[in-house]
Amino acid sequence: MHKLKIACLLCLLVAMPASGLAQELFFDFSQNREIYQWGDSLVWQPSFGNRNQLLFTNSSATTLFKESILLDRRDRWQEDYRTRLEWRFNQDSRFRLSSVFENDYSSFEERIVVENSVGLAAWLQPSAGLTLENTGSFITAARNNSGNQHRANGFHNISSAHYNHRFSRSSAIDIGYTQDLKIIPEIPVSGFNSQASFFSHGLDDSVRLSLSGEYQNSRYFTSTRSYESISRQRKAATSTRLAVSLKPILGTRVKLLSNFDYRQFRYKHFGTDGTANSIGLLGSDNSSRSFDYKIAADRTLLKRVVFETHYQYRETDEDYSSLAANQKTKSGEVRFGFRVHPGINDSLWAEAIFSLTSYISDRESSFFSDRDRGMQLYSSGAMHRFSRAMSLRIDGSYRDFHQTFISGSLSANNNHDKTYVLTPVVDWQPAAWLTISNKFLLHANYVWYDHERTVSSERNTLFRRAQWKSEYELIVSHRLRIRPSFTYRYEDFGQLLWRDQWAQKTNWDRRTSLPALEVFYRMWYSIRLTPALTYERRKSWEFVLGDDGAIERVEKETFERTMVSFGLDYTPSANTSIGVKVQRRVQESNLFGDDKTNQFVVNVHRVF
Amino acid sequence: MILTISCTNPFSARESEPPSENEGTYITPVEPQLVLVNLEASYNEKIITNYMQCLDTLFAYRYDFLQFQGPDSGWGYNSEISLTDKIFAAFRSSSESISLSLSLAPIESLPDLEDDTTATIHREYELISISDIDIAMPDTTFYRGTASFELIETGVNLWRLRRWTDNHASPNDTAWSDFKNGYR
Repeated sequence: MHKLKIACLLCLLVAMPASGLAQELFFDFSQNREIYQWGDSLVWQPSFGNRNQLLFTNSSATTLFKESILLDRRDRWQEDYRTRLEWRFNQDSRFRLSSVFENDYSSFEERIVVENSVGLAAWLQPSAGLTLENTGSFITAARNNSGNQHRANGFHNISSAHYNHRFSRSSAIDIGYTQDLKIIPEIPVSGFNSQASFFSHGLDDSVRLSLSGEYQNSRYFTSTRSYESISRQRKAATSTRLAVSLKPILGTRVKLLSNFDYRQFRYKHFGTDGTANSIGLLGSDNSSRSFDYKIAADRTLLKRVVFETHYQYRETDEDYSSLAANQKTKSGEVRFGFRVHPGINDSLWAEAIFSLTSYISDRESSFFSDRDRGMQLYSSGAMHRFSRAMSLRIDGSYRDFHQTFISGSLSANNNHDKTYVLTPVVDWQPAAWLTISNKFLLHANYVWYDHERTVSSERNTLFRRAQWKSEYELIVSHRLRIRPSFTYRYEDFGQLLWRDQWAQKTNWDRRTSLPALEVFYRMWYSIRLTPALTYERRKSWEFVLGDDGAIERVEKETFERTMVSFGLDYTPSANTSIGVKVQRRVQESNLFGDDKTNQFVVNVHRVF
Repeated sequence: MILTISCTNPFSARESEPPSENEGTYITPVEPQLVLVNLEASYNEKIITNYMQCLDTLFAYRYDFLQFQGPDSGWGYNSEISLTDKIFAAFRSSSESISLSLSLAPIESLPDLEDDTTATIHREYELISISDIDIAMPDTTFYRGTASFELIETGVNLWRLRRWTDNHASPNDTAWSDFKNGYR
């Protein structure tokens, strides 16, 4: 099946005529050790005269685990295909008839599910802004699982109406309704959904409101291994969205956003024992709702300074009729920020964010899961342009997460997680053909547990990293660019101790050197080659107690990795691109041994 | 009174009770393998905050198929946290009668692939759910398969899980995604 499909796709790629409104092909293939994956997406839409049009779409995904360890070394295949063929007859601009054929195929080992449908569709536009559509199909469904088969025939009808009216250039309303009815023995599906939206915008203000509702009544086989038990699900959902932008007041713009969602699921079970499968909450009646709003404001002063702030609130509530599963959440966040350009060569920015999320159970028996998660974030940065060729940018941030379990059964895990980051970057272009970028990084991550702050605890830790990366870009010619780079990194990790201030008891440290080279060579206008080489050498040491009772720094691991890749991009025209990449990886470690890996990737894209 | 109210920090956490049980296991994820160590520990200890710290905010879960009704092909970060919270709450609240344990094992033919800031790690897993543990013949359900984890080093230089793909051992076996889908 899969070899035939690849052959057909390649023929289409070569032989497909270049006509029609929209025709596009994607094909991807990758191989990494024993895992092979490929997939495609094809759209072909040729026209035949003014009134007739063919629409063909196909998408597929295949995964092969060669000699899978889970199947006693047999190949493990999984395939999913979806094909649709539609012939459209456009009577005029207001009426269209179509015949439709669809095929869905899904297989995993001996489990196969196939669904086919053949039908007619009609599209009508009786007046401006109003469209009506109806599709009626005869469907067949076949399921096969290890010889256990089930077949069914039925009828599927989808009706929809859509109305769009523009009151003026700046306001409009949009209303839609869809009804879906699938009559198939034992597992029918019926439902409808509707939506309505309104928007209006003036020079300085706007409003957008949308409402939607959905109801579905469906039956399904409770298990794929037998067809004796059936479950019924009734789903109801509504949602409301509001976005308002007000006219500036004293130069301050204000925006309001708000959302409300409600969902309800009801179940009933038929079949051998009349109960749902025994896993978790599946098949249990439940409902949930959520509400959130955001108020944001910003103001610009003297055309150079921008102040921004927002407050955001959200709450959710669940009802599973199961005390352990019900949970409420409440969260709030406030942000302050500013950006300023003192001159054409300078910019400065800063922001502060505070947030708190509370998880609340509604019964004593599940009180153990009550918790709060607070966050504080402060960040700032500055940039100065010395000249057209040189600039300096510095960014810094401090972030503090505090996790708090309220119950004593889990409060031993309450902790602070603080991170400091500083990243200066210098960019310099001494010549038109040479660009140099130097990036530095200083990073420190402190973690300590609330009830272990002043005691010696292995869980209180400090991780630090210092890194320097120097990157060069050389334009050798209009065909050739070279990008060498070098990265040096130092890291250490150890226990955090409180001695009137924080101190670190180092457990290990490591140093990494990482030179790399990338080449971009455009051989002809349509062929580009991208070879690349990366080498990494990492040495790590650990601090252990020596025989004499002193702490010794002992070499633990030497790790080397070399990656060589070669890429080829072939773009014969603006409509076609083919990419191939091969990568070989060799790594050696005195702790984990050696490993060699090859990887192969192909991507194809064509617009016909 | 106004001064007192105005000095109260609206973003401060609630007061917590003193610890009555032992602490959980969490290692700062300075290497991608430590993320899976933390994930396994959080499942066995049922500590949701440790599990949350394993996932990137752009986390995506994918599976090959579900044994039960599943109209989608996976879910994202919020759904993963919500269903895992329910799993941990269910097993903690009834720990006298039900238990859940997880084990992850490397696959010799699929060793870990690491780059400077990304990693792909495959693990064979076994998830065991036991009901009625206090009777002579408890009801035991095994969930087996392989999990492919794609990890990234985040902007704060710590590793997180970005994508998780679950594969059933065979069409007739139940896997981790079937267990998780039961709590969605």
